[in-house]
Amino acid sequence: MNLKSPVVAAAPILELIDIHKSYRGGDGKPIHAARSVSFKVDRGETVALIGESGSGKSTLGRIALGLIKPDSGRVIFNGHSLTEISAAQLRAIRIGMQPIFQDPAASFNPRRNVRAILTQALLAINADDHERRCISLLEDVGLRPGREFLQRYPHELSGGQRQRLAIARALAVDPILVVADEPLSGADVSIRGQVMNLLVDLQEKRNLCYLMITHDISIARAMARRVVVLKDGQVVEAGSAADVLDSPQHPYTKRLVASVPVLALPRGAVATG
Amino acid sequence: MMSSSLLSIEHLQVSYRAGDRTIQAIRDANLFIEPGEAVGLVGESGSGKTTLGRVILGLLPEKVGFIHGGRIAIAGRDVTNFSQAQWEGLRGQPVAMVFQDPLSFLNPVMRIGKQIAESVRRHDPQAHVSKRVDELLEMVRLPVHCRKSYPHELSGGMRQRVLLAIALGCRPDLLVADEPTTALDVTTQAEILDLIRETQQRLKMSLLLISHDLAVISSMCQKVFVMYAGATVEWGPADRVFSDPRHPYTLALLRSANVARNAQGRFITIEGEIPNLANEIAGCAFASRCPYVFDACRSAMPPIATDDPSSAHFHRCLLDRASLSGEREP
Repeated sequence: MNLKSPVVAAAPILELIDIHKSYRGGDGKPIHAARSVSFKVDRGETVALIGESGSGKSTLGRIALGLIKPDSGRVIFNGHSLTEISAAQLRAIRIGMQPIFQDPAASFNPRRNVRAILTQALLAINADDHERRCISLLEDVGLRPGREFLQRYPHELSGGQRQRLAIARALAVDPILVVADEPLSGADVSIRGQVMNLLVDLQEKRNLCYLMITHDISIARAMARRVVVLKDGQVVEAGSAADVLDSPQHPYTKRLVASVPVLALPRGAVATG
Repeated sequence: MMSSSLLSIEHLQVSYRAGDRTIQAIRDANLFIEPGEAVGLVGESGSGKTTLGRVILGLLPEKVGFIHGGRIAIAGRDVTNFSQAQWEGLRGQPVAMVFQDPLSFLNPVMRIGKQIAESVRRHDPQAHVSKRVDELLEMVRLPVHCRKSYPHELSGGMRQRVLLAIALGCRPDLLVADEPTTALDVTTQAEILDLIRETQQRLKMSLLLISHDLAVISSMCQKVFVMYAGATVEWGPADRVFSDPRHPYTLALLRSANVARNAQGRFITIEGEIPNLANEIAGCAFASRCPYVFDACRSAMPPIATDDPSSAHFHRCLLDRASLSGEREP
């Protein structure tokens, strides 16, 4: 049984074509965050961008979201070329793609309660009946009963609950694509599985696609159908998660996979299936 | 426990005062480290593992953190009620520490060589300082020209090597490393862990590795202590604890550590949340999430128990071995 992201339509939701982006470093030399990077995300699919710090993975996430303009190359989201439209059009189209960040605590205004945080997100799509929608969003991400969370502030939530709230906020505008930058790296091991199950459930229920940016190979392997391995702004290897991570071809991918410490588990502690 | 222990912590209790609230960071912790041993302390956020690491160096925040029960002994000396001045005499030698974030520890406006030299001079006034600094740089495999560098000119992995050189400059008997590789990339992490392992074995010092990462601990340590919500719930030889966990929390942690799905295609997880330590917890702190919980678990903290006194494998759970291992078969 294939439990990973089902593919419904073949047309890509997101396509990055030959993206170049460089910054000027402290010493005046250019730093290449992206060199001729191309990849796509199909409807309902999860693609993981993996790489270490400085590989350019976060920059590519931002380029995909239209938050950074590439030096050259095209970003096509849901049939629209983000690199060739006006700022106003971009704003409208960008609602279909939502980010989730690594540190949910830092992405919330601490003076706003849960109701205000979600209501603000809902304003972007002129939704009505905010309270009912807020409650249903909260319950969709497992914050139940939703009504009891409305008056709470981010600091009153646990780390796991804050990550759920970040997901609820991203989903408020009913996006097609979620760009998640290290969504699990701050989560405790015992909580991580809960968040991953939630992401998988929401994907199935809403036919979402995920672009996951992560340094964690085990998470990429577990969540993604395809992976793109980045090093110094270049794609060194891409393909199905199983192919790339179980039998890496590029020396860098090999080294990356070999560096992950493996825990030998007691008999019976490993799940079957 | 044996009096020859380099470090011995028994039934330690530590709390933090925050305004009018008291947070019980450590409710009941035990930790024993013998000379030359590599010991892992594993726990999630709020487990108290970082507080325990700080206690060992007398680094509880003044007027905020308090020890109010239990005992700490370093090399046979009771240090539980040591003053800051007395602690000063223990820092570096016999106990040194490396931290998760080297930048906040290093002086940003002082060259690396000078910072290492300071540590050498302090603990060994007779030393040929310059020669010793070169030795230390070589030991942590940093090129000699790094002496002239400032912290911001080095990569994260190199800074962690500098921290290690500073700690080793004190010739410690015990090196406490609190999440030394958490902020690093996996390839750099592997290099730093290799380096720590190698130096620990070569210098025959003891290591306390504090981490949330079971795989890191299992690759580095002979002995492991598992903490949950301020209590050490299980400890013993690492191979025994990992192959035959006796506390449901350890078992659950092992199950969820490798990202894997169960037979229903769900990722393995531990339901519920880590308890809020500002609230009084009676009994076992894991009771609210434990699938095996029964009434007695909620009334008092389970006593220290073992299935086999010769194994040095201890746990604090009322459940008998058969009930837990029966459940362990998938």
